[in-house]
Amino acid sequence: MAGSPLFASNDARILDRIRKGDEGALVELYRENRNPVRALVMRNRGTEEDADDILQESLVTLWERVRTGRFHYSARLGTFIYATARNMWLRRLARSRREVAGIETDPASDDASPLELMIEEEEAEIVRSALERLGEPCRKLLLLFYWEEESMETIAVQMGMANADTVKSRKYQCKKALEALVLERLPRHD
Amino acid sequence: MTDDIGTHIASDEELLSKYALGRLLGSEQEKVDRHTAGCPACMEALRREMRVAAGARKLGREDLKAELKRRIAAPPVRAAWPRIVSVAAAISIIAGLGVYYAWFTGKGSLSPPVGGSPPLAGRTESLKQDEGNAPARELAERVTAEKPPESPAPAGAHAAANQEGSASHAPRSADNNRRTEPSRGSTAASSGAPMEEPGGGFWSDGIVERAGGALDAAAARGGVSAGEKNALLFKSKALKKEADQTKDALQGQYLLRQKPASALTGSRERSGRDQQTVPTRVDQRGSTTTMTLYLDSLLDENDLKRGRVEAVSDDSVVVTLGGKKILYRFPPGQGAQQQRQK
Repeated sequence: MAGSPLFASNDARILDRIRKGDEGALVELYRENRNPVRALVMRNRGTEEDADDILQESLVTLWERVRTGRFHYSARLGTFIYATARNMWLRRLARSRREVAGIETDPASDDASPLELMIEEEEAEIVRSALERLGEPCRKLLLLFYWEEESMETIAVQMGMANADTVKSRKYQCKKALEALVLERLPRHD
Repeated sequence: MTDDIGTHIASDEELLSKYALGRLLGSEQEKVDRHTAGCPACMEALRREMRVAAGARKLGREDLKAELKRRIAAPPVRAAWPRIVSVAAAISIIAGLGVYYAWFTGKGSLSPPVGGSPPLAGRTESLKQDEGNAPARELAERVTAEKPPESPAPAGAHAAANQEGSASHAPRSADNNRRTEPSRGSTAASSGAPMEEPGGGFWSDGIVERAGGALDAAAARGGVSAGEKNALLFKSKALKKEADQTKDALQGQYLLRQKPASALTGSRERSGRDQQTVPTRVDQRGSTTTMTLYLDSLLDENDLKRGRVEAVSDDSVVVTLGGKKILYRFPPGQGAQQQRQK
């Protein structure tokens, strides 16, 4: 489904901005999609604040997918955002053991990646917290590699390191330091 | 070891990372899965790698969400009245000086004002027609300084959307095409990419450096990543606030000018504000390239005179101004190549 040329053109412009790292594109999408997402969430036992939070999460998901080349959606961006927000809200409702009537989760547009399914939320939070404590430049290096998914060569240029091998070596040391921080708080798996 | 990986993947950092980031092909991933099923040490190494990836993604998402919240919470519109009044005052002063000069020297085609001023447009047009009156002509050019035209819709945008829509679901490769080159002619305000216009000039949005060295690194590889853009936010507080008026400073073959951001049309002004860039008009006049920067707070005239312009590649130019570096993208061939010709 290609949608109308008008929407497609605007969507292409937004996607182009996201690919270039322009966070302003998300603000534009937020303003365009706030009303439908608020209506959805508030119809289903949520508040305005819940709706805004879910919409922001959806936009971050869109950003992540586009930036890492995982965005393959043929409908309008608004449709993707609405479907993502809807699924996120339903999961959040289910988690809080509230009953949901009249709407079902669409597994085709589920935004959870295999990685998210495999890794316990609690563990990810421990690592996140450890990354915060790790300090610069390790925090920046690991974010560039695992979040921005930059190549070693690009990271070397961005961080003023000699070459990719220097980055590899530094990344290894940073991971060791991170692991030590994580193990302090992680339950033992035997 | 009974599978075809041939060694413990626990010591293969690159393979572990590719697995955790989902960059392996299906067959490669299956090999790793088969291997780790019979290798507890490898399974544990893989688990550690995925844990790091998950934590980094979580932190990256939270950073981005916080940035989004900050931008949403920012006041959408600045107070307009002080700006309108100051711009109107500047126009009045400049126009008044022009009229006074033409009248006083007797070279202009204007009659002395009697019983009030003639309409502004009429006055400036008369001044422009006076070939022998250079100062008045210059003033007239300033009074009639262009209101920048709106950017046309990006060509090929629809095609790009269709391409996005028809993209396959094949696993990602290590060098995914997400780092695409900025498309020429796309929305300049969004990317720092130049927007060429029929008159020969173009618009380019300058990205202002905040963290030392990041800009040089960006220029060296010809682009600015999301992480760097965060570090290159425009800090208008660092600029000394002065009266709203046009100021010039000639530096080598480049003429640096500044104008108040309020002189921009609405969409371009909003774009510059939202993205915290410096909308800049670039025009080639004879052997001089004029760069007109539209700023919220105008620089001190001495700062402007000390400004430096350096072409770092054939499509990138860095302006050092007021203690800040500003990166511009020019159309291909109009950066370093232009400088070499001069």
